[in-house]
Amino acid sequence: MTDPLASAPAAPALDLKGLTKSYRNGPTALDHISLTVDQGCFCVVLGSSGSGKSTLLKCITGLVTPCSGEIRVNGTPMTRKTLRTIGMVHQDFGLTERLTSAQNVMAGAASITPSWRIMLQAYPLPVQRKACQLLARVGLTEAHANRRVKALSGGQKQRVGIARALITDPSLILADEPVASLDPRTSAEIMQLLKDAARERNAAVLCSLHQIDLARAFADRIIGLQGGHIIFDGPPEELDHAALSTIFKADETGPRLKFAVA
Amino acid sequence: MTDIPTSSAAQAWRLKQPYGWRTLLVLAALFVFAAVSAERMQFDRMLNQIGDFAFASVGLKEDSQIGRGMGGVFQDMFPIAIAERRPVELIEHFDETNLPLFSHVETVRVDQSSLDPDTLQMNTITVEKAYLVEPVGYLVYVLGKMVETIEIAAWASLIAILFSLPLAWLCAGNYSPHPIVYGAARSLVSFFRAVPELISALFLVLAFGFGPIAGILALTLHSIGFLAKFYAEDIESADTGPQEALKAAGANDFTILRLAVLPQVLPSYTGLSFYILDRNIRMATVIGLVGAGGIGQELKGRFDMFQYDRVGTILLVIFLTVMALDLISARFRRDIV
Repeated sequence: MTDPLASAPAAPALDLKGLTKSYRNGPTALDHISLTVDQGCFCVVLGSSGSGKSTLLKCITGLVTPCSGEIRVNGTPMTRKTLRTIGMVHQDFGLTERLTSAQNVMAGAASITPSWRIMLQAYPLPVQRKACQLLARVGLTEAHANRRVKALSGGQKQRVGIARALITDPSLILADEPVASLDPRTSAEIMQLLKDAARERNAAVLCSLHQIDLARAFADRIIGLQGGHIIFDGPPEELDHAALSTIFKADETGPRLKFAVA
Repeated sequence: MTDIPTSSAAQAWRLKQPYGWRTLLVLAALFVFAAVSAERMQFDRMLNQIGDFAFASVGLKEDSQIGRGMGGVFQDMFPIAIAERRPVELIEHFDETNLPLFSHVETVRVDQSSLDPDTLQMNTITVEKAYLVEPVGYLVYVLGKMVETIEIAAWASLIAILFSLPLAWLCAGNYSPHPIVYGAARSLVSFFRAVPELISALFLVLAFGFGPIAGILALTLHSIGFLAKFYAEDIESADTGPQEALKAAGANDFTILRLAVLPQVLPSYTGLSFYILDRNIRMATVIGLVGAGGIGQELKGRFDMFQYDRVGTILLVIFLTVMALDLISARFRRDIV
């Protein structure tokens, strides 16, 4: 693949330094997170609800503005322009239900398409062809491509979501709980697809999950997040019972509430 | 019954009750206000008159004010005027060899009495008067006015939709470019909505003269006030998932609106636009009353000349048109949305 960014192999796909985010009237969601993800690495962020997984991913794509910290993608600081080197897969798919699968995939290329083409939904032919190839790659047919997303199943929707994330040839794919609303079997299929598709393009993946088995099965590297801190970082083999119990440690309010009811 | 483990805290809980003494107080106050207002609105007289009318219509009373007021009008209204019958001498460039379609000339002998200036006596002379009779002439004319009314409404709706789309963008809190722009756009839209068509038409007739221009503009302004508000609310309440997804892909606001918001709100927009067309047609029949074109202008003229048979024709055409539109738009909306 002729990726101009690949000419600088030294730069990691993602480099976070001291990333901090606290919500107003809320706890600190991210507390000085520093993290580097190498090119082509499939990295899973594991944590329970409210551990800061989503905030971490949203900070990288600019959906959430971090309070402080530095984000570098392929060595360059994060700006609106560098967003097109990132593809994102969303928990609730983030697809426009009344558009067709193909239109949703091509919408991923919106930032590099002129406004009048957006207005008329007339994408350049190369984009159209690429959308078809990607939809075929994620296992959908021509009939699916021309069907409204509304008519697709959950697994098929996430396949479209992955195709959309890939259309700008990103070197980094972020996936925010991509299989949270899918059944276990479909989840495994989608994770496999995500991993294979990323590997073919040598794209790094930062995928947040709360399913331990999926994280173990697919991750090259697991990052355990709890209360806005990285408390585990290593290959899946090192994820033992002790590590898990710290990652999924019950909140301090949890047990006390239990006692009060009993 | 199984024993539920009790907790001392739960025993002290107090649940919110749906009604309380405050509700009763409010209801009592409302009742008093309603009574005072009813007195001011002359409800007693209204009930008296309706009662009189009811008694009169079943024969328990000689007559009633409502019966007298409406009876004459309704008697004059039927049969409604279908034909147009005009004296030939009043028609400019009348050409007997080239009559309008389906029309004929009717000659009537009329006795005319006139004063002979020499003898100072009343003479009765018989003259022949020619009339041009068009059997469905007036109905065709009214239908033509109805078509004009529908044209006024259609143009007003179209222009309003085109202007409301960008205005809705400025009025949507989550996409407006700047708080000042948002405030200005919102105020403008509220103003448009606050001015009733009939009143703006009154002034626009002064500015543009009698005819459809004033009607189109009056309806357009009010429709913009309505559509921009509801379009904007749809934008604000649209599902944020697709919007965030595109934002994360680096898309700008216009792109997000076009690709993530517009497809979502399109069914609702279609419904609103059809509603406004439907409403504009009904309103267009009314604003003619102040001279803003269409069938209302004709209605007002005939009403003022006490030609109730023609008023009957106009009202019938309006009722039938509105009913037909209701059927059509209901079917259309079901198919599209």
